[in-house]
Amino acid sequence: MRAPAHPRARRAAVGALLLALALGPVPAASAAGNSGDDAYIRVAHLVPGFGGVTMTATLTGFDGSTRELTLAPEATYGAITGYEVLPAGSYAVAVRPLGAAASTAPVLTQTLQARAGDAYTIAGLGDSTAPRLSAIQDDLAAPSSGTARVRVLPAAEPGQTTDVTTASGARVASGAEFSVPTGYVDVPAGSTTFTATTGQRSAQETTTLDGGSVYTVLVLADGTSGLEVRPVRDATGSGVVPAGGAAAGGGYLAEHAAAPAGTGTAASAAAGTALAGAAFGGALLLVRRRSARRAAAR
Amino acid sequence: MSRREALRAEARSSAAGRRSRVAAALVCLGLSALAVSVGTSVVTAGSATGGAATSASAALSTASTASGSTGSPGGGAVSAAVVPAPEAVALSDVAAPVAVAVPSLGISSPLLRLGVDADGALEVPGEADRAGWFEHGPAPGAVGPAVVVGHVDSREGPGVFAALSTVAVGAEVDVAREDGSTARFEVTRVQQVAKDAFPTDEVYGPVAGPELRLITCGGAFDPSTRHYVDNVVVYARLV
Repeated sequence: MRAPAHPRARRAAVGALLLALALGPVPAASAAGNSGDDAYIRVAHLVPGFGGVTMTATLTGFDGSTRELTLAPEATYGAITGYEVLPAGSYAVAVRPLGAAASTAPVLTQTLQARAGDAYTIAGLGDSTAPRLSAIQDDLAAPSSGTARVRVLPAAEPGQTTDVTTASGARVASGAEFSVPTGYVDVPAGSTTFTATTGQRSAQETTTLDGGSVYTVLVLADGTSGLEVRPVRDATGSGVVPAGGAAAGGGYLAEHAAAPAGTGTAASAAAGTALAGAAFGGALLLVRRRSARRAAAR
Repeated sequence: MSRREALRAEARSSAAGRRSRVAAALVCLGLSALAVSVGTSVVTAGSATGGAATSASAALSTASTASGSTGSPGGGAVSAAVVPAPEAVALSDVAAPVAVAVPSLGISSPLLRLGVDADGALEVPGEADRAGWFEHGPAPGAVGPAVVVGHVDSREGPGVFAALSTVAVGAEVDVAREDGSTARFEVTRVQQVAKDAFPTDEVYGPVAGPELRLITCGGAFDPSTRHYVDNVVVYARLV
């Protein structure tokens, strides 16, 4: 996805935030067993007029152990991180003003039960007089062929509804309430120009939507009267989706071993290993294999 | 014998070898896909340029060579005939993969490039001892589900992914890329599933991070169709 042509200071904040998030937590797998137990989690600050915040979380693992995580050391309005892989489990998320000590009472809290394999956006929503922290489960269902799935998260102006259309006429959001994510709709893949209107504000943004992928269009205030449309990629699928499974066997193992293929007999493992040869040693591998084949053909 | 001599000798003997590989392809791909494979072989055999996944005997490769991200003009033309949506390739700037390894199983293979066959199914490598990357999905290491497929066996012997179903959750999978970098993945799940209930959305559908799927055959072998009943799908995530 291309970044909008008009860079803002906000983007620098997002960059710093991403870096810190990547470096902050210890590797997920070390805290909660194997990596099959992980979820995707990202955080966002979408409260117009609200100052910079620090977002932390206390993770309680399935084994009862707890861990302190810094989800975003410095998030200002409009910031959204990339997804981080974090252990599934119970999270107590806390938001404090920038510079506030961890011992102080948080201004916002929220709990999240993160399930393995699912994706979540923990977002500060609402307005500055009544901010709230929401844990949104991101729906990563596959779009239909040749389309992308798009939802809108209006976060520009309290009390105003938001409309978002595409240049091709698709209505992505219609009268969408402030701070409430819309459902996803299918939009044809390819270059797409979004037009958003919130109250008296309006803006356009052109981006390329990949088929099979999922997006959230953030609609943000730009100053007191401007609007920013920022498409964010939620998830990426295969642009082309083959039909059915793969015909990747010929029957040798089934016909020459006691157990069927796929059950992992020692014989098949050993044979596979012998064929495989040295890691990445493509050239040597080929020569050896060809030689063997010629020998066998004699 | 030097590598060059070996390849030359192989080129001489490739006609005989090709016949046996055609038989293997018949088993794996079915008749319609076989036609595609044979047609493609003429082009790719001549366009092999010495990359890790190429050789003079890549006769049945159903994809262009791995020596360049744009492929040869000849290979591209053939691909266009069998692949419906080539514009969907460029999902990211991540370099294309050239080899895959599962060190704990001793699996190591250069990667062919695969598309879809005439029936819209996932193309599989023409040779049982090589794996292939589905080039119309994400590249391994880019956000999304990158797909690599290899045979569990052929009629004649074990395939490159003969042992894949035994891989442990947490095992390492390495993918070498054209730019010299290596993407390291960790296995998160191993699934054996009937081909007629293949989990298309799970395998190819949207994911929020860089993931990898390794696919091969498994389960019971049906001698009447000469196909395995199941697929084995290994899910992995970039670490």
